[in-house]
Amino acid sequence: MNAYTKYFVKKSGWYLVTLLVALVLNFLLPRLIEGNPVSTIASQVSQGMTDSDSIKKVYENFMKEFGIDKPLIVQFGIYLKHLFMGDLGTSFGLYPRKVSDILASAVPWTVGLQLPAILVGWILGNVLGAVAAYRKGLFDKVLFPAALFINSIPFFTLAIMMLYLFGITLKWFPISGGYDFQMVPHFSLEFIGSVIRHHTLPFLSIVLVTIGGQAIGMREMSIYELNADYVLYSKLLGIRDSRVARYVFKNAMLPQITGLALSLGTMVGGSLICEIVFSYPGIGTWLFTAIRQLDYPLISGCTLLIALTVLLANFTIEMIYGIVDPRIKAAQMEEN
Amino acid sequence: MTHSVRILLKSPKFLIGAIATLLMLALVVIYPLVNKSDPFEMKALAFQPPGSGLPLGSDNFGRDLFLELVYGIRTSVAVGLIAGLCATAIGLIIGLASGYVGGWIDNVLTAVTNMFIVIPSFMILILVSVSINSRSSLVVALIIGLTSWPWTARAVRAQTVSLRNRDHVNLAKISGHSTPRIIAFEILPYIASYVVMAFILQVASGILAEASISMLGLGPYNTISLGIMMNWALVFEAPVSGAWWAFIPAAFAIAVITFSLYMMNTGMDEIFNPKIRS
Amino acid sequence: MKMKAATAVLVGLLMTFSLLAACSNSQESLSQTNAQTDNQSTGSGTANPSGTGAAAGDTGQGASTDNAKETPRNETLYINGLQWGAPTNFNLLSGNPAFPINYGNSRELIYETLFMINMIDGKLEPLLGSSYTWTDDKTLKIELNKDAKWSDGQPFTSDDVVYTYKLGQKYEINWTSYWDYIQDVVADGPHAVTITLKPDNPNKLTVTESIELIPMLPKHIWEEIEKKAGNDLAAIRKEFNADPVGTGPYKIYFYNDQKITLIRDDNYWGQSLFGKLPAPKYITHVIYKDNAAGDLAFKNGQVDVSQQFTPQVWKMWESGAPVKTYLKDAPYYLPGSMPSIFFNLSKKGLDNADVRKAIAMAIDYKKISQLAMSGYSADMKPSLTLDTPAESKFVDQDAIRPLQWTTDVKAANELLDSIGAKKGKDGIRVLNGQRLGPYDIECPYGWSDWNAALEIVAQSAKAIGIEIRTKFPEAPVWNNDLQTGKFDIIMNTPAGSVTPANPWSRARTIMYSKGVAPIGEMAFWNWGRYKNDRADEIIDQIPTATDEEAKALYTELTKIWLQDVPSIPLMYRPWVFYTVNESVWKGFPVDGDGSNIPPQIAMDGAGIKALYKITN
Repeated sequence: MNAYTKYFVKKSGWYLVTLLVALVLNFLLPRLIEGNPVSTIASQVSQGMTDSDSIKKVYENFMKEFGIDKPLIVQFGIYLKHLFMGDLGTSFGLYPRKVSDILASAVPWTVGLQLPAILVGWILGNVLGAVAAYRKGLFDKVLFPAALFINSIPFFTLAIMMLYLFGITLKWFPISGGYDFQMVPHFSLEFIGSVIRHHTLPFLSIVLVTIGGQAIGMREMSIYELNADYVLYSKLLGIRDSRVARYVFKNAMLPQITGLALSLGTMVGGSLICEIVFSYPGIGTWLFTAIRQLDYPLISGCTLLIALTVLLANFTIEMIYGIVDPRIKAAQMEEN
Repeated sequence: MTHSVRILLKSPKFLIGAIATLLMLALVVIYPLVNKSDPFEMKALAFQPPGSGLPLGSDNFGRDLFLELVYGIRTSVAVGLIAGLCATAIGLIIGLASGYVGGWIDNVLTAVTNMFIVIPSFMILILVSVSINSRSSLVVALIIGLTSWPWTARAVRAQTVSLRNRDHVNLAKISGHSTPRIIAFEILPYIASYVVMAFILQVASGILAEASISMLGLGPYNTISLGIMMNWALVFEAPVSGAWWAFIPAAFAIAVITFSLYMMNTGMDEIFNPKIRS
Repeated sequence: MKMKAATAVLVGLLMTFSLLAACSNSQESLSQTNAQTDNQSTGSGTANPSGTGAAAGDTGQGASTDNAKETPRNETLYINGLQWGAPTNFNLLSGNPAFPINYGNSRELIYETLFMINMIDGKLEPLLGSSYTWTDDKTLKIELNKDAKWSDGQPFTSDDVVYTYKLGQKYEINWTSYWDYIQDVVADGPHAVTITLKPDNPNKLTVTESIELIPMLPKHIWEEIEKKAGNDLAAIRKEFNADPVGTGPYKIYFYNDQKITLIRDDNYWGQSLFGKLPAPKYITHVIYKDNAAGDLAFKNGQVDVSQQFTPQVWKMWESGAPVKTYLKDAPYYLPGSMPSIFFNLSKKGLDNADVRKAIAMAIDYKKISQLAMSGYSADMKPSLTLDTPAESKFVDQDAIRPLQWTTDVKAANELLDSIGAKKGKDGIRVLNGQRLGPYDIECPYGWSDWNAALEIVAQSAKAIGIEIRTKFPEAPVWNNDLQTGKFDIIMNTPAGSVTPANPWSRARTIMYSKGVAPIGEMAFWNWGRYKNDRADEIIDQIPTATDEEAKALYTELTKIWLQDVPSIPLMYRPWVFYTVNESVWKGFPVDGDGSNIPPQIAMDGAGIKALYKITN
């Protein structure tokens, strides 16, 4: 297992470096934006003031409170220190709410939307793709262009069209929010029902596009596998079709599973546009609001969370692959 | 080469995609020559339905939507092309270098590539778009190109690695040809078809990225693109007013363009990729 | 198979994580409601609707959610357009409090002001103060209402007034600037207050503004908070103040990221003043994500009073919805401010008054009103005053009429021709070697009516050969550009509220050069850095002038402004938008109903009288 341990260590090292780069980027980029983040709150406080000096003092006070009057390097140091203590800082725009609070309230919505949608889309898409590859014929000829077309509709366009059609014109579904505004979050059938109603449209839009993409991918992989030598050989040997099919799809699934795991990794950040279009209270909406208001801590917090989940997902995949796939293990050995 | 082209022309998928694209490009080039008005001109009331003189009605500013659509497609395709070119070029160079040369250059470049792949590019795109001051379509195209190359680089590298041990390459090496020459003449022709497919995909994703970023309001100033049209429609509450003509045609246009590009790509894939020839 | 096991593990892990996150979130909010006695909680919470004698912060019993499911529709007044984004805190001194704690609109729901402003006649009506008189040019005597008391039962006295005013002297907060003009505020017995002005800077206008603008804070509560914070403003700002004690008729009932609900205090002292309690038992503000969502809800009758810009509002009642605006016909809303564009007078080409005048004459104001403002702006009559009876009386209209510009593209072209600005090959004029363009004109992205107005300005300028490009950066960036003078032309509203200090305040914001830092440093008015010594003199003189003197001064000032054109007003905009849907609550004040209740969204200043008028 020695070669494998080396592989593990090398990969972990590399991921840590990437994490550091991500940290620096998500700290630096928002601060490069021109414009003073305190201006929103400072201009509210100084509304009605007529003396330049006192208004200026208001700005300076806020800048000191938010810690942005110090040089960039010092700010980065403070940021890292707080990060190790688990403190993501206090939001500028929603002062004095803590960033970790805001994120904690948003993550369940994002995950609750994305996770089932990705899973359902993945399962349905792969089934459709496999069937199309296996059956060929008319089903394949119709399915493929349809799937391709839906896949090429940009996701937000589909979202807007569905919003317009089902939400506004047909009035079947509500058009914004996570749940009915009249309600207060609590555990009851009514509330859950309301959540589901608000959940349907964004859910469907993600599912449809995912189905399209997965179907195409699965179909390709299945065709590839179906043409492989061992399939022909097995058929010649007289092995039952269903058994052959099982082997084929097991092999075809491999890259699809990678794809699934990666999608799950991008889940936290991937629904950005969907959430914005449907004003769903998830991380995407918060990130966007934060960018609009130049709310540095919230921007950094959101982007950090997104980067972290993606890195984590990728890392886990690499580890699992290393253990599970004998081909990769062999290649690893060979490379070493 | 001619042989490949002839085979391509026989593929129905490729043909559909190519014809659709060409038709759209033709419309975009010819219509402005016929209708010389300024798309920015506000000639009607806001949100007029399609009718007299305005084939697609007017948007929230009272501008001719059909004219805007044509100019919008032009800008979006242009941005997509530049972004695609940029991304493919960078991806090609990096992929070839790391694939052929190998060694520590390979390790460094691969690490960088993987880094770019893992850090969500759309996020970086948003952050960079917000931070720069001048937002012309060229700048937006370059930014998109600079954030979407990793995928091409990875694919090119994989192909190059599998090619680098072939006989003809070894022959050229022994003959003492220089590295750039080997890459250009021995490796490039074999992956040419692959590069073209990658380019088409990059153009499609460039168009999508531009549409997404413009829809969020971070697109180029003072231009009309499909994403910007949809953005205006959302900001000025077109769906609530029932003015479907303000955003549905633009959305549809994006879908058709990307669809035809994907079709072209699939057609080419079926021909050039021996693995999935059924 | 190993693969399946691996994926199962992965998916399992992810689901557990998300469940944990959800659980921890709800646990957090539970523990926070339990800890609400400390007044330090964030997130969602409920303040129990208490009757008498409940001091602030003694609420928070156990799980917050079971007794606050929904409020009955016919007992709740829904409002929108005042809160965008999750509630931050209810602390007036924090600088960013949530609805209904607000500074600048005289919102009389929780905290009240001494007097209520009525934008129809410009008068101040009694509330916590029963009358006010200027005994001489430097002394203001205010009589307080003897019935007034705080929601915790303590009486409202002159000590509270003195304390609240002096908070502005102690810390840099919203009303600090009044101390530039106030010498001292002293109690004159428990029910009267005397304000003396500074002898060298006696500005009656702003001090009169202060008595209708500053919300009164309870001394007995805030002294404690000050002590706890060690008299440090930064620490005071962190105070969440979840259950504010005020003199007003409502208290906080429930709030979270999606809505804020108030409940009526049935022990409200104002029953003696108004004769009864306000009709709605609850007032709720749902936090919509954007204008479109709020407009749709309003159209469907889910919102009763809307402070949003609702495009083409007449379509709503034409399609049968019981929607009303204050004015039955265009422009539907009373004007309250004039969003204008300001020129950076240090930019070559824009430093020429004739160029600015030509631009002013080229802009199609009618189109701006129709396209950008849905017709909500009356015909533009350029002046420093609004075109209302309350303000136009300050200026001699006949004297300024010859100088007022109107949309006349031909005349604009002729003006530019006459000063030698010749059109180049690309259609853009060149003046003394300086190409008139490209000039960037900016306003924040997303403010749709402003965005549309600037697009029209750019088009209008093109017609006379001046190249203007639109630029819509994010709001903080625009704010920064505004203050540091990093712009060519920028749009902003000068002095956008209705107060006794207007039109002086507006003139000062547009033309006063004293105290304006040079370009590159922050300036908080006169962003274009306009300098005119005579204008500065006049602005200094007006606050202490008599009414006749003031009229002559205003007229001269307006003439200077019309000739120099440092800013161009693009449209009239209401102070607050007032659109009502009478499907649940009926009887909202409208023009001509004789009630003299202003369209101040049923809660600001004298507008709160509407709450006593509506029924269902």
